[in-house]
Amino acid sequence: MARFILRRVVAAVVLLVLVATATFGLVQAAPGQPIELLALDPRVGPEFRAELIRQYGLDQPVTVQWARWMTATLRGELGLSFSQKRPVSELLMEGLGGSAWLMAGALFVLYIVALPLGIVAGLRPGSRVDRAILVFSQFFWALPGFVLAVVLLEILGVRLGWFPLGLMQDLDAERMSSMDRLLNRLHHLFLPSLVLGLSSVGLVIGFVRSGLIGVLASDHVRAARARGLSESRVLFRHALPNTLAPVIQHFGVLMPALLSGALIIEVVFSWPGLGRIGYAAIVERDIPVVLGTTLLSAAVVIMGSLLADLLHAWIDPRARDA
Amino acid sequence: MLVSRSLVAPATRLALLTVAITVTLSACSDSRTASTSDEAKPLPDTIVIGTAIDFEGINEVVVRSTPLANVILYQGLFRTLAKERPDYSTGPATFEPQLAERWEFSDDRSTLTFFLRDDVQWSDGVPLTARDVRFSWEAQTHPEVNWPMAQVKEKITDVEVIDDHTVRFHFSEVYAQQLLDAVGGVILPAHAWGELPFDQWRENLSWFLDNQVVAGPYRVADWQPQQRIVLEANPNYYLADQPKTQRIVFQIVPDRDSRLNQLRAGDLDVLELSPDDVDTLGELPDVHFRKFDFRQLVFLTWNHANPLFADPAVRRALTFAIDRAEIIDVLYGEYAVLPSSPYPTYVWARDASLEPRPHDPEQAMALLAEAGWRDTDDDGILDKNGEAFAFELLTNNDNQLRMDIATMVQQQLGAIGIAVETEAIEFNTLISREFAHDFEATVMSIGIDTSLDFSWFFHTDSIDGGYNWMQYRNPEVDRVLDEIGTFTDAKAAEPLHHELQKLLYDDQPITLLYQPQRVLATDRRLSGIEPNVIWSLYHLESWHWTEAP
Repeated sequence: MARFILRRVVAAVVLLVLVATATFGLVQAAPGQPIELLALDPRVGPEFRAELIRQYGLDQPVTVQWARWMTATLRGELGLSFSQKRPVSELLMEGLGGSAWLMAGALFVLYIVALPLGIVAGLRPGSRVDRAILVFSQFFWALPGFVLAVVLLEILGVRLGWFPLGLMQDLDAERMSSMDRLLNRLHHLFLPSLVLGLSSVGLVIGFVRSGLIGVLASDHVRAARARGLSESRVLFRHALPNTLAPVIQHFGVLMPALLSGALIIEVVFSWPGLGRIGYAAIVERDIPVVLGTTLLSAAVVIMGSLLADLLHAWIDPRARDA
Repeated sequence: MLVSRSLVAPATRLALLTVAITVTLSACSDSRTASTSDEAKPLPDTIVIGTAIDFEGINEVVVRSTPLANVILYQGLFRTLAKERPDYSTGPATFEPQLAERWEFSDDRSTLTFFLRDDVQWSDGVPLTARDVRFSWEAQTHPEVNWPMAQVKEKITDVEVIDDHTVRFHFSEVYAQQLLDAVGGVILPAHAWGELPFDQWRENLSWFLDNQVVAGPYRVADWQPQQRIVLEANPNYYLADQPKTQRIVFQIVPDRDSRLNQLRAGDLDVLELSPDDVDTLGELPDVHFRKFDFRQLVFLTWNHANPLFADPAVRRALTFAIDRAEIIDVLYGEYAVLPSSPYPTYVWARDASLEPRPHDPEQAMALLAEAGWRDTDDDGILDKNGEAFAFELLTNNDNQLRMDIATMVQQQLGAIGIAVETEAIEFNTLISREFAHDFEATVMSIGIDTSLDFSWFFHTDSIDGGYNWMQYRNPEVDRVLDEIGTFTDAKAAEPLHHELQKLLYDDQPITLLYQPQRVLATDRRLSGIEPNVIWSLYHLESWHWTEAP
């Protein structure tokens, strides 16, 4: 097991370095100087631009810039944002907080909706209920998140006024008691989590459904039934535990889907998060921030799948040899 | 900036993302409906303003000059020695006293002395004195601070502290913009911010908020990045009756549709809009829409180094061939006007006798024929010496309006036998290519200010490193530009301004398309709001509610 973990961790680190290098290369290859946007004012002289280029080390060859950035990153320093002149790590931490709330909310919605539906569908494959659930999951899988977001915002937010139209909390949330503040946060979190969660619901329903069908057809479930156990006991004691374990592993597949979906959700709901920081940085050619957000997102995804693999290996020893 | 040399960036750069979903809006079900009958409702103490982008910090000399930063720093947190009045249509800029009660030039105009108010305190109770004025100048001109606008201080050789409330600016030469340049930039707290050496300012943007000391009507009470910036009244502000409203909140909403929704729902009280937004919103019962001039010009740049565009007669023909009235009508409706020269229609020095060149394809054809452009091989495209009149028109791909303009220009020029290929490229790339003169023609815009100094745009000296992207060279124009700069009495330069406009009118170094206007949407029950060209959010300190929403 130790060798397995070591192998996977080394692979994850190598993958991160590759992602970082590829991102660095892409940013360098993109046309346009990051400095141009900072200096778009007629009274801004060429001296200002030259000085900025020197300060940011942009006059150095690409390989030197890469080596500097790599060594600094390995030391845990992500540098200063070009546009905001604040440490990138500080910006990332700010974004990470918002993203974490959103991810947690979305995962909650996702499992609350997907587990029961997946189980119901898996218990009666081919039935009318199964087909209805299939239509439901295909619908949300196909529907772009922002369309759902705009429709929900219009109906539940603008017209009915039941939910806030975005942001993480009310203006005066700081003056509330901590309980009210939490409720306020959840009130704000509801719609964005719902939209983000529903966008991946089809995926998880699929995992649960097919997993359950497989397990129900397996020998040990048939044996349990043969022993005369009640259907509910068969389901809850024998079938479900064996179905849910692989679902945990699929968590690694979900992370990238949620992270990329979060970008649009963060923008539409004015939710502060990594996606927005990364997007703004790309528009502004804020290279250190672009690299920082990409690296962090990649790390989250790679960690997620690493964790899932380790869990899987722990549950199922056969996976260790794979 | 006080001197409003704005960004060249397209307006849409502010919108991080526009989700192109049109939901049929109906105002009747909005929460912005008639107010309740509850008469005793207290007036709110907060005004919420929507913004697409976040703010970076409170030290003017090291943050970027975005519209949001300018409003917060100039209208909210800090004061300048004097403030430009929005009287640009009646005459050269005049100034309203702010930290300085009055000022006077020496007889030879080589020095300018400011007499400061003696009742101004920083928010920590320390008096604001002439030493702060000198300190601000030192910061603005320090090479390591590298203030983007440092050029305005180029001709100021010293800022001398005479006594606590008297400060003298020394100039290396006498010129028209001395007062404008002297009062440019906000006054910074020497006693507080002097503790951090200048060479560390750029790297420590957040230090200044942690050590916040301000002199304006507001201070930053809370900044939740990507969410809100909360300004709260500064109790030490020197005018006791201001500000009129306790809190001003800037709510950061990057998505355009979300901003419009928040305005409809009453979450935002004030929001700057594009004409397009006004169409989308339709009538809202509690929102007042105010149209105001926007300090921007949109035009086509021709690269004069390209033989196609070297001849002024050809450039005139191009202007005649393009139906600018139609472009405005289709894309902007009533929210744009066509100026006859780069002098916007709202400035005093514009020559009203010049009429914008009309749409006249026949005259365009005649001018082109005279210049040797004829369709000799009957392929529908004009040619000369075997070369077809064909070029590429670049625009930036994040701005649908610009791409629409490019398409319309393509059709209109196509009608007289000029083959235009349009290409939309990424904004940074476009800007880099403008500076490198690596283009044939582009759809572009610039920010225009009220100083009416166009040398950075049309002077031969501005070809390298400046904004003369067209590589326009006209010694006459250079002479007039230089001469305008020497006038100390700006009004007396009016004939020269008119001369310049005629020269540009004949040469058509660029083909002007329009001068856009913007709209400020505000809750009807807010008072004191008067947007103008320099500031869309002007006199923030006197905004107030007249009735509870």
